[in-house]
Amino acid sequence: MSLVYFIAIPILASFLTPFYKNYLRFVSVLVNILLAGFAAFFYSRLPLNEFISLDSPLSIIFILDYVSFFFVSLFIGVMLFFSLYSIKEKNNTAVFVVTNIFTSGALGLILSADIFNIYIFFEIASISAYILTGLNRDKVAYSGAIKYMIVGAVASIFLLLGIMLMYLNLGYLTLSSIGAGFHTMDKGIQYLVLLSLFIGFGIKTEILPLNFWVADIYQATPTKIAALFSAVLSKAYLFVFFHILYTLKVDAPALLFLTAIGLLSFAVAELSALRSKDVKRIFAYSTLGQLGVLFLALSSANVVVVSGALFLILVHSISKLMLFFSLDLVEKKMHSTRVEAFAGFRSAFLFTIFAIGFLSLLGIPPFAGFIAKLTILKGFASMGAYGIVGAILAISLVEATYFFRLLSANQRSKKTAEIKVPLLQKIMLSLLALAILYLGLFPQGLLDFCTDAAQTLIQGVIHV
Amino acid sequence: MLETLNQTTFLHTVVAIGSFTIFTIGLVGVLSKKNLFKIFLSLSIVESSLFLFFIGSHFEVGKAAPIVADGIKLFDGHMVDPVPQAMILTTIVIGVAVLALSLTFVVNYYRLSGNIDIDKMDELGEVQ
Repeated sequence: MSLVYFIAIPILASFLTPFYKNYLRFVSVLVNILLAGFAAFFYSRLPLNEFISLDSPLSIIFILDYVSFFFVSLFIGVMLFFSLYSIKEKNNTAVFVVTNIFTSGALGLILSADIFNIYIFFEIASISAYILTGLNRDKVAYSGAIKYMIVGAVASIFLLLGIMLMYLNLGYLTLSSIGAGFHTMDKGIQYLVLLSLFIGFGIKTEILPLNFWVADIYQATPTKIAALFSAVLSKAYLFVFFHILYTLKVDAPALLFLTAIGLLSFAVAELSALRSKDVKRIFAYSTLGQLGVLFLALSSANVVVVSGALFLILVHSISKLMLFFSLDLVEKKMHSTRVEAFAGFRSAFLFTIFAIGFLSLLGIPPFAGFIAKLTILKGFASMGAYGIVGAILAISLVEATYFFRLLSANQRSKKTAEIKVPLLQKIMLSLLALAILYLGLFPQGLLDFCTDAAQTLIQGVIHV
Repeated sequence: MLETLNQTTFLHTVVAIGSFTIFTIGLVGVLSKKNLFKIFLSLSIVESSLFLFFIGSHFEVGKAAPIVADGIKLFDGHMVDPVPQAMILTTIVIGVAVLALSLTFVVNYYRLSGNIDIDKMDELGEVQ
């Protein structure tokens, strides 16, 4: 058994599409089930290093430790859910071709432990994201894809610059060797490398001031795909960024800078959501806000806060899947994602799903978001950072304002269209809602795992 | 005179200054041009400057290209570091793929909208 299968199988499934063109949707489900099986197989063997070719400083290394296992299983879960949810879409082969490559890119990003492979998977995931953005093949989609490609190209140029500077000064590509030698580099070069990495990953993790493009891209992307961007893509880049940072053991001022950026990003995103009149853009801004919180929490270097952040990553992925998939059903009926269209639909089921998603994102008990935010706040309080606790709570009020405004708009306005949710979709969405409720009531098992994962993340990739 | 020009440090300086100049040319292109084609070409120029910089700064006077052929059996001290070259080859391939994809989007967008000016792309944004 090899970790390469995580990357090879989905990409092969895409390349062999001509052999089973009409059945690709079933193949995708099978592929994801297979990957889930692999993940279960590797669970008892954690942590795991795998070397491919050559000797230590130049080899290709894949690492599956507690934290990468967390992300691998999260992504496989999301992709399995996505392929099951869309299993009835017969004419949508293109989506599955690209989402399989997308899976392999995201998993590769998580597993790679050498910086050049990270760059390659960074590009694979980005390219599939560009194609997914342009999938609707109309003016809006192409315009979004072009914008995405311009900012994406800038991101990859800066990431490449950072990688080159590290190799020029150290002569290594593996994360562990770079981590060991990073502080022998000149101080100026260190900050140049960190700045390049921040610009490269900052654009992709959708953090202020590099997130000006995000709402436009989410608006151009098909709604269900936007859920994948929110639940998988941004999380993959976020993880890799902090994995690298903790491995490089950057000094406290740099981490403090990231904390400040995260807080600012949270505030600005939630305020932008207030004035938005398009529900899809509101969800995009809400994603930006949550990513700000995650940035803030992950840069704290405190085990409790980081474990809360990992829990929040899971909860946020589930909530955003629910919200975007339900919005997709609304959009199909109302042909628009504007707030007026959102106010006009009638469906008790969808309304409940939206309400659960909102409440969980806000962090209201008994939903899982409450546990995540509580852990983060507890951790910050134990560090004595009461200012951050206050700021997070205050900004959450803004978040509450627009979520409740959306719900009350739907409650009060005259309903024009009744939405009948198909059975499959009903079951899948209910499963997500139940998962949120379950994690909110019995979070202990997952929290323990998140604590282990947080310790691994903060420790960084150690020398093997 | 010619001896001084053939020094590794001197050549590295030339490469650094040259690639920085190309980087700036590309950057100015990205920021000042309105035509989508020109923007993507400028991005590609910026990328090329990085390739030149990286390959150039691993060049050392008196060392051969890292190719195992004709009697040379293994990588050793007579060759420059092979890793940057392998990396850049991979990166060039990725760059070509991304450029091709972006130009496809631009062509398709132009067919549908008749517009190639980035300032006139107003399909996306806040609804009023």
